[in-house]
Amino acid sequence: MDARPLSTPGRVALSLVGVVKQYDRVQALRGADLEVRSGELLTILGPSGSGKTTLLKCVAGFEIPEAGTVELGGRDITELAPNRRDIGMVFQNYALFPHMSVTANVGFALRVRRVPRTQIRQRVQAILALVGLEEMGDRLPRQLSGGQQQRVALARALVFNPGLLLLDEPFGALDRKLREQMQLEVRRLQQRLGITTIFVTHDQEEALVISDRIAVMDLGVIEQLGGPRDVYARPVNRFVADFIGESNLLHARVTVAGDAAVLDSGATIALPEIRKPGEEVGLLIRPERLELRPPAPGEDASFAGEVAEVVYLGNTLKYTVRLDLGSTLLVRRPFGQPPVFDVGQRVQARWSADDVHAVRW
Amino acid sequence: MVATAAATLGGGRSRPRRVLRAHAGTLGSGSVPVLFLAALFVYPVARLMLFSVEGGSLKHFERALLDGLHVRVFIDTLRIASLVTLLSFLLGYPVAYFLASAPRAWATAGLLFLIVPFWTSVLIRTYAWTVVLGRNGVINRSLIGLGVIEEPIAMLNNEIGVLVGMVHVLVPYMVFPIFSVMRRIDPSLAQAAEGLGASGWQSFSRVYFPLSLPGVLAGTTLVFILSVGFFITPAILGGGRVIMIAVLIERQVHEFSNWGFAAALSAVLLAASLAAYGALSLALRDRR
Repeated sequence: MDARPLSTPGRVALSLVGVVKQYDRVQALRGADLEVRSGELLTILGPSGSGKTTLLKCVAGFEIPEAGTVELGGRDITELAPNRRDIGMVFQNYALFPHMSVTANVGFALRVRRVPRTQIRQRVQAILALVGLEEMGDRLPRQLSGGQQQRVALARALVFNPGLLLLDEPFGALDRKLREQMQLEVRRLQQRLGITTIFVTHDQEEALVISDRIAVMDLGVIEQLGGPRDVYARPVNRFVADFIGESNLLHARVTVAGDAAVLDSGATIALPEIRKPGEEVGLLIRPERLELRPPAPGEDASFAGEVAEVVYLGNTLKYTVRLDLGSTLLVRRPFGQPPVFDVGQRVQARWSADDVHAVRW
Repeated sequence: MVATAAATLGGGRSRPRRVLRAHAGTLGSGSVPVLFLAALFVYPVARLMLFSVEGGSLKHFERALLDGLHVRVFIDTLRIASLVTLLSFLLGYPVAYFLASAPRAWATAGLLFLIVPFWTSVLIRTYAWTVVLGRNGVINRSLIGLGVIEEPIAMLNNEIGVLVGMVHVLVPYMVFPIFSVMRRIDPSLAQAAEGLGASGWQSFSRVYFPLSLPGVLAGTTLVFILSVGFFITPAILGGGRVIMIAVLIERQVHEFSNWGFAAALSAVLLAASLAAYGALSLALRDRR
């Protein structure tokens, strides 16, 4: 990191203010605001159609927004041509030049910048060594595996020391094992180089693994920006709560006192913090925060029910519990930890008050 | 038909091998087309070639290859064919590029413009050019009317007319193979190049153009081979003053009934075409 004076952690490297982009009649971005700090890996997470790819294209320069500004390192680049932006990008399908060897692909950015030949050779060799492909320089892209192509694309985007790295769903084409391996590898590389990075994905698990911060997008705006723990444990609204992780989201209304909420079934749940009386909320309880017990007399009958389904997932058991009062709960318990229940058994669902999080409905 | 030819030429090196294997494997069902080709194509060509060495003498070949006049016709033919190929490329490449990158509706309309002339006979299209290019043709009269020139420019019965007519007929054979290759070029490659700092020209010259080369080579081969053997257009627009090899062959048969010499000229033409094809497909193979 000390080799890169550019990366003063915490300083704003890229900022988007009120970015609007329209396609025909569809508004892909409806005033997106975002600040990316120097040296961090920020993930833009959202379902398809949320505008995350459009946002990335506005940053890369492949789309010019109708309104708003994009600033990189304090310079307004909103309408700057992509080839003058000094941004490295890894495309979804890698977009490697099929007629060029690995070396030629990686050296491309340096050749078009007219860097002297000997220097190109050195820098290409160095970056190929960094991604573990020093032996593959003479191969053509189609002679490489998916993971190797991925590394070439990464090397090609990094070789000219760009001020910003963009990754557009780069792991989509890889199988699960390789994807997890590449996620960690990219993360390590990013931290080692200290390069400011924007990573776009629709995979919330991936986002949680790799990011410093996550911007959750939906319908053209950023709904929440925060650290992985933050967006998982304290989502700001129903969409974020639902999109990230598995969730039990129960519709409820806050009581007059503001310290509890009444579910549709009539049951009352205590809230960890005071909310506005009468507010319509969704109560979020993560499945791994729920506990199951055999029902005992004298307990709140509104969370008693019957096991409708048990799925064995290796390290956890996933229960679907049908409550007597109508709704269903997802429950995840570590495998091998009693008590274990079978389909049809009566259970009582329990949680601690801290595990309830209320979001706007 | 053009599309098939283009696909065969543009399809890459694995193609011939696959075709051979297919023939070996399915002799039963494949034998009908093989017989058909043998009866209607191989036999007549072979029979014609035999004319050229009638009586076991090579005198026709001697005349075709050594006689100054005929050598000049061969050289003229190759020169005109090369010019036609070059002009077709210069005109056809931008057209193909436009068709491959334009919105769908435009591309469809453009392709239609290229295909419609195929439904009109080459003979009619060639005669149409005499109306356009003649001393009192549209071009000359317009230019005189505008005061650009005083005397009409001679564009018929010379090489200009032949070039214009041939390029007009052959340009689609250049456009289709290039278009079909261009359409398969991933558009994100241009974005990748630009994102890496390439200017529009650098992106084109280093990425797009090299990737379109297989199409260019296929189109070039097609147009060159077709122009070397072209008959109607040079015969009509050349007015007897531009002699290409096919015109010469026709005369030998028609006016002099000299089948032997005509066959020898045909054999040389065939050899030249095959050599051109061989050279270009070799170049194509090295590219890939």
